[in-house]
Amino acid sequence: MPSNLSPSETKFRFHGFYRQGYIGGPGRPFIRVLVTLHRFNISKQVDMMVDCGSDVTTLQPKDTLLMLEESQFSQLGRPRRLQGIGGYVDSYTEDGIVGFSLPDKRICWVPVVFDITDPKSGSSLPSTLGNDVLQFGTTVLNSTNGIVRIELLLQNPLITPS
Amino acid sequence: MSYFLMNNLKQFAKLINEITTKNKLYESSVVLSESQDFVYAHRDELTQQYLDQWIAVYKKDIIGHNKNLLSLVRELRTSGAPLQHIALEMLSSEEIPLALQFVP
Repeated sequence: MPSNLSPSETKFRFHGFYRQGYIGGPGRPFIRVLVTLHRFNISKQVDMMVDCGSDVTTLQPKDTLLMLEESQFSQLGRPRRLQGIGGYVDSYTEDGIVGFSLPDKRICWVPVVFDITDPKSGSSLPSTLGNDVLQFGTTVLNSTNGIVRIELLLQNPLITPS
Repeated sequence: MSYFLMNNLKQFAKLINEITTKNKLYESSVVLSESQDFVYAHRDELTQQYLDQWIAVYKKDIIGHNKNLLSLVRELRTSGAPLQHIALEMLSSEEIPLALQFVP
């Protein structure tokens, strides 16, 4: 069977999980990733909600406030606004990378421009893995069977041992 | 700097290795997973106890709670809590809208 991958692309498969957002609510798809903001020399594990409907990958205050001092938020990149159902949220952009765990305990790193929500916004949202990453592959979600599977087609990915 | 355009993968890998080592990322992730998984496993009873509050969990212990996230994190920093190992969670009883969209 012929491959539909170009010679420079490799397919990587990552697995997530479902968790409830509130009592009695539906399960939401999450994936446990590693986040690095290299300009601040900081990295942290983050559980990101898989959100194919989000244009951007976001880091929310519940994660960033544990990574950055409050004074460091003013050093983040270009400010912009996100629109959510509840209204607009001020945010900043920042280059970084997301690390996905591979089955052999290695980490596959993908460059991302994070959208970092203003910590004073009052947001209680989870950080989200958005369509800026998910568009490079296939996302399989099956709540009934608890399946969250992301397959990314990556060119020259950075792989490091954990 | 965009690493999509960065040709020197070895240099990038070295940088990432330095950052993750400095942050003890892999060791701290094991503890953080324990903290976060405790929240997931006990969310219902924690919600009843700390309704509409943020909680800070270290391993299997609630080490702080507050209705304001910024205040909670300030308390944690002041107390010298190991931030890399802590899971923060808002225990809300109501649905939170989650759709996001970039506005140019």
